[in-house]
Parts: sequence; C-alpha cells; structure tokens
Amino acid sequence: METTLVSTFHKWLTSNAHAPKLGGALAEEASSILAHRDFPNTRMEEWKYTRTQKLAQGDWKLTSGEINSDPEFELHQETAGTLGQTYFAQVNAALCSGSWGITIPQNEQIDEPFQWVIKTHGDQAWVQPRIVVRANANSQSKFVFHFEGKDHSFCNGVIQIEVADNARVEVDIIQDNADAHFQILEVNVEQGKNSHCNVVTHTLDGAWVRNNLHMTLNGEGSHAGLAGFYLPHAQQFVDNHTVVDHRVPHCTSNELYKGVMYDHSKAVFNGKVFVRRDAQKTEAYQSNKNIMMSDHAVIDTKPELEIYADDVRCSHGSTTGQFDEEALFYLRARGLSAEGAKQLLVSAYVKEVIDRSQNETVVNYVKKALSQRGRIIADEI
Amino acid sequence: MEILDEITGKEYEFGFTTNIESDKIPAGLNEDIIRIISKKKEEPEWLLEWRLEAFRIWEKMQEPAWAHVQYEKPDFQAISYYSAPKSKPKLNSLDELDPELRKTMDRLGISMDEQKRLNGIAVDFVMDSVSVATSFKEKLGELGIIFCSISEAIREHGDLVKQYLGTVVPRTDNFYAALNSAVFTDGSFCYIPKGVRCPMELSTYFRINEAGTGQFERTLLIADEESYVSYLEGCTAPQRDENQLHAAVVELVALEKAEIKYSTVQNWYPGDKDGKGGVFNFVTKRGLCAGYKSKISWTQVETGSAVTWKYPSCVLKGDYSVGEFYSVAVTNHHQQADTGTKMIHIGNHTHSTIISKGISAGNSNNSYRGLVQINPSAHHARNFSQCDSLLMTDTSGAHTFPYIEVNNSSAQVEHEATTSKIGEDQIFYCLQRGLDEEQAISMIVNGYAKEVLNKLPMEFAVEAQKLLAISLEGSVG
Repeated sequence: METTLVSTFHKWLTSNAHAPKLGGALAEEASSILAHRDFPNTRMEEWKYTRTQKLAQGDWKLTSGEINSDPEFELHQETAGTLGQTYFAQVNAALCSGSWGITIPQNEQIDEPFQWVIKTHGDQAWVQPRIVVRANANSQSKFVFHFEGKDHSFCNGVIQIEVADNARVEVDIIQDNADAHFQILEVNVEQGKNSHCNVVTHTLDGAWVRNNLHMTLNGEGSHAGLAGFYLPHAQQFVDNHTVVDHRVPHCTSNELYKGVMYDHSKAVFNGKVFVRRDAQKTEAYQSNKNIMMSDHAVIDTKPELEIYADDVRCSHGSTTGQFDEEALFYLRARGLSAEGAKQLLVSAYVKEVIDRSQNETVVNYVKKALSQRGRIIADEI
Repeated sequence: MEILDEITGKEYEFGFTTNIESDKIPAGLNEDIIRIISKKKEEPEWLLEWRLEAFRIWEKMQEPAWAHVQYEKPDFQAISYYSAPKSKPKLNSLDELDPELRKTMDRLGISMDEQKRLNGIAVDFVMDSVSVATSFKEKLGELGIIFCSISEAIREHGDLVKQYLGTVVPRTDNFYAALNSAVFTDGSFCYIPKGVRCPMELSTYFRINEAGTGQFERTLLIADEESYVSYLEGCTAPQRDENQLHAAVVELVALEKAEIKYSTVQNWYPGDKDGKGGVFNFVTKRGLCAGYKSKISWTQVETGSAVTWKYPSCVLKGDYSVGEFYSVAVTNHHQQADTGTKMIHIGNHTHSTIISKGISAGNSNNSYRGLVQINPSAHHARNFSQCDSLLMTDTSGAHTFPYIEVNNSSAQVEHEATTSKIGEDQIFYCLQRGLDEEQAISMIVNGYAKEVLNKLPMEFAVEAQKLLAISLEGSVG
C-alpha cells in the first residue's frame, strides 16, 4: 500500500514542481535509490519500536519554512554533503528545502557560536533543511541548532559535520516541539585524527521526535561525546538512535542519555557501538538511564555493542526505575512537598546531561526553559 | 604459539560414530512423511492432526534472518526426519541393552554403573530420533514421578501430554518450532506430582549418530504444585563434513510454588578448525512460571555447534515468580553463537536475573541477544542483567544486543555489559606466582565463568569445566 507521504513525495519528484532543491546529482541519486526502498515500518529492526503510520498519512506541503541563522549565511548549492544511509536522510537529499554550507578555516578559533533557528509552523508544513559544516584542521568552533516545531507539521533535517585533524567542535541541538509536530533529524559526524566532537541533544518538548546521531571515528586519537535528555509528557514520543563507529585504534567515546517519562509518553533508545577489527585500544562507554513517573509510560531501550577487536575496554549500561525512596524521604523530612522533592531530584538528574554542553548560553537557556515549564528547579532557588 | 597449534589441532573428543543398524526413512518432508513418522510411532489420531497442522503453519513461514550469524540455509528436503536404532523388544533394565549401544554410552561417559555409584542420576538416552534407554524408572515411579521418553508418555499418559503440549511454545511461535512440532520424533517427558521433591537429578543425553539426519526432539517437563526437579541435558554428535540440523523444542511448566532447574551442557560437533561441518543448533526453549511463587532457572554451558540460535526464556505469569538464566557460551574457530534469553514479566513482584558470559576465540563470533519485557500488568517487577564478553583473539567478535521494554513505572530494570580481554597484568600476576601461561589462562577463564558454573549440579560442573578447558586452553598467545 502506498502511503500518502510516499505518494506526495513521488508527486514532487515527477512533477519537478517548483521547490527549493539541491544541486542535481545528489538529488537524482537519492531519488533513484528511494524508488527501491520501502517506507520505514515496525517490521524493520531500526524502526521496531517507532510507529510511522501517522507520519506517512500526513498530507505534507513542502515549504522552505522560516530559518534564521546567526550570523547570516547564503544558501549554498555546491556544499551538498553526502547522501546518508537512512531513508529520511535520502528523502532530504532528494527534496531539500534549503541548504547551508559553512567552512571553518584552518587554525581558526571562533568563540561565538554559530546559530540556526529552524521553525516549522502551520498545518501541513513540511521543511527539509540541510546544513553541512566543515571544520578544518586545528580549528575550534561551536554550533547551536534550535528546532521549533508547532501545529501539525513535519521537519526532516540533516546536519553533516566534518571534523578535520586536531579540530574541536561543540554541537548543541535544542528540540522544542509541540502539538502534532513530527521531527526527524539525522546528524552525521566524521572525525579525523586527534579531533574532538561533542554533541548534546536537548529535547525540551518532543511531540514526535526521531533522532539519528551517527559519529564515525576515522582518525586515531579522536574522541566522540554524545549526550541527550528527554522529558516527554502527555502523549509525546521521543526516539534516539545513535551509532558510534570506532574504525581506527586509540579512540574514545562517551555516551550518556537520560530520560524521565511522564503520563502516556513513550521513549525509545537505541545505542550502537561498533569497534572494527583494527580499532585496538578503543575505550567506549555508553549509558542510558530512565525514570518512570507514570504507569502508562513506555520505554524501549536497546544498547548494543558489536566488537571485533580484542584489546578494548567497552561497557554499556541501562537502567530503568524510580526515584530512591530514601532520597525522597530525606527531602520530605526537610520540609519539601512530595512534588517539590521529586522535582529537585529530576533537576539534579537532568542537569548532569545539560552540563555536558560546553556552551554556557545554551546551558542557561535550557535550564531556564525547563524551570519555566515546571520540569526542573532553576539553580537560583 | 606451540600451544596454539596444539589447541587448534585438538580433536573433537566425541567425534566417533557407532555402528548400529538403523531404521531410517527416506529424506524429504511432506504430509506423507509426517504420516509415516506418526504411524511408526503408533501415535493417536489427535497428535497426527496436530503435527499436520504444524506442518501447514511451517510451510507458510520464513526462516528467521535477524540473528547475527551467517550460514548456508539447510535444505529441508535433503534431511531424513526419522532414524532409529533397529527396534528391539522393550527392555526392563539397562543391563539388557545392545552391547554396541552400551559401548557408545560408556564412551560418552554416561556409564550407568557410574551413575548408580554417584548415587542417582536418572538418565534418558536419546540416539538419533528415539529414546533408547531410561534408567531408575521404578525408583522414580514409587514417588509418582513420570520420567520417560515422550513417545511412551504419548501412549501411556496421553491426557497429560495433550493438556500441555504446545502450550508454552505454540506451533506458530517460530519457523523451527513449527518444524519441530511437525516432525519431532522423540525426547523426554517428565511429570513431578504435587509436593514431591525429586530425589535425584534427571538427565537426558542426546546423540545424533546417523549421517544425513536431523535431530528434532521435544522435551516436556511439568512440575506440579510445590514440587522440585533438577534436570540435566547433554548432547554430542559425530564428526562429519556435512552440517547437521538440530531443532529441538523444550517446554517447561511450573505450577504454584514449584521449582525447575534446567541445566544444559551443549557439546554438539562444532565443525573443524576451518569451519567445515558441524551442527546447526536452532532450539526453542521456554518455561512458563504459571503459578504463584514458581521458579524456573536455566543454566547453560554452550561449547559446541557450528551455529547456535537459542534463547531459553521464562514467562513469569504467576505473582512472585522468579526466572533465572545463567550462561557460559564459548566459541572457537569459525563457530557462531547468537544466544541469550527472554524474560517476559506478566505477574506482580516477578523477579528475573540474567548472567551471561561470552568467550570468543579463533575467528568466531559470539552474540548475546536478550529481551526483558515488563508488561503493564507487572507491578514491582525486577530485573538484573549482566553480560560480559571476553575476547581471546583480535579476529573474533563479541556482540551484545539487549532489548529492554518497560511498560510499568514500578519496574526496576538494570542492564550492564562489558567487553574486555584477559589483562596482561592478570597473567603477569599468575606467572609471578609460578603458574605457567596455560594454567594462568585456564584459571582466569574459570574464575570468569565461575558465577555460572557454580549453578550447575556437581556432576555436570566437572564436565563443564573440562569442556571449557578443551575449548579454550591456550587460545590466547
């Protein structure tokens, strides 16, 4: 059965309708591959816990959306990046609604972060932004990608980051989606020798979010950091799929994802760590922790290790549980209300992830936003 | 390096064949073959129907491809589905056994006399497709315990079999379970009556002997209220260049306050050092903790088979029921194992524990795949999982695929996994104290696996330790 999204998507392709498209070759390649790919469904291992029916049934209208960048950039046609592996990354390549390319020159240290605010508002709006970052050797830079989704809309974004030898890149992704917004985001990071890249995903509110974060360590001595939190409420759905691919020796990676599940929400976590045959002396750590606040919430987690080298230190851990009764009692005994005590514990729990961000502005913004919504208690109190 | 050569050259100890005349039906699988099997076994009509239905289900199914293993798919029409040592009159005691058969059993180390000396393990011996001997039947009979081959149980305790067969592993469960349901030829049956604590270890020994056959046994074990049983299972096969298929189904049912301890030492022929031959071990094992405070514990030591696809599971339906899974899986040469467990929490206050230790050597791949599912109805469920992997060479692989699905807020689920190799400092420490490298590795590996080996009954623990040593000694340089 052909779903609406698929047919909409084919309509766009065949009619060659006016759409802000990418340069030819990549889009054509993507369309020809997509013609033979099935729409993701729960029979596929990667989508086992993620329902795509509602997304598929949406009658989406491709628009360029409202995207503000700071500092402002020109739309680049040349810096298209690569095709990507996942279905939706290829849909993005085939029908991109706007692309930005930015190159950080060699030896350049830029303290001010580059920022994008990507808004997808209005019923049936469909935005497919693509951002390609190249951080040349010995450079240092910071990036913030702020997604804001509202109404019954769909944002399918791709961010590709190349971190050259000895470069350092800090990435913060803020997701603030409400109502019936669907967001799919693929972040692809390729790292060179002795490089450092840290990606923190702050999912403030996620109506329906699927994140694919793929970090590949291609150069010796590099480090990949991955962190994220999700606090889904009501019927919200948040899905984080991450891959850390250790291809060469002497690399390290550290991953921490934490979630607090309220109401009827559902979250999915899937973390893969690959250690290839020659990637000796790898150190890879992965952790996923979840707290269940409601009997109706669901968490499906699948931390995976696939290891083909023997001289490595790898571990992963996953926990799901409740707050320590003793900790709650301790706080109650000091005069906090039941609600207040829980909130304080959630604050401490989530801040561990937020603080992994190296961007102070983002840290403050996220903490403020969460405390305004009553999720955590701000530092000042 | 010398040690390495010695080990890689190590022969499979149980690779002999026994020259016993056998009754074997032609290869192939269709409804007529199933009718022949059923007729040969003098089965009642309901079972034939049950088998045929399973066959029809199987025909519509596809072989699963999600496991982290690669192998050439078996040709199901090239297998003979029934092979039995030429039928003899029914025996009253083991002393009347065919001398050839007795010799086989002696070579496998299951000398009946020895068992008696060890003060009692009742053994059911299944060769190729049929059960050939069961010991200690009378003694068990006095307590009301039924322990016999499943064929005999179908004849003599049909109602019990009919009541439970396929209730834990339905015919529709998976490809191999459907196949087994259609063509299973023998296996063990055990029933422990209310309040009885089985005084001895019950044991089944499986052996594939004939070439060109597959083994499809079915085990059904029922522990009635407040009973206890410890059950052991061992298996070997001759050395052959072809891949033989073993697709068994094991069903356990534990009623209120009953406890079943099920231990396996799996040592099917793993193929030679170039990965030629070996047994495909595609097994469905599942236990149902049906009653309040029931308990099922799986312990497995997996050293054999070319390809293993096996997930002994527990369905924790009764409140306060307990499921346990302890596993040591060793792979060497070109062996591939994808093994683990499923813990399905349905009842309140259900607890499960998973301890899995993987050891990969040679060019092998060893995967842990496990599911912990906390259903919305399971309040205060608790799970602890630990999966450790030890890598012995840089050409082997160790993988962990845990699936955790939590649908209840009062659940506590923990999972942790580590992967490492034997530390040089650990070996150095042992060498310093006068052990040679071989002993040091053996000691470290045994220490690593001890948590699981300790769960085995004493007689098996000895065998398991020996097996570990054979499979691994010296495989690190």
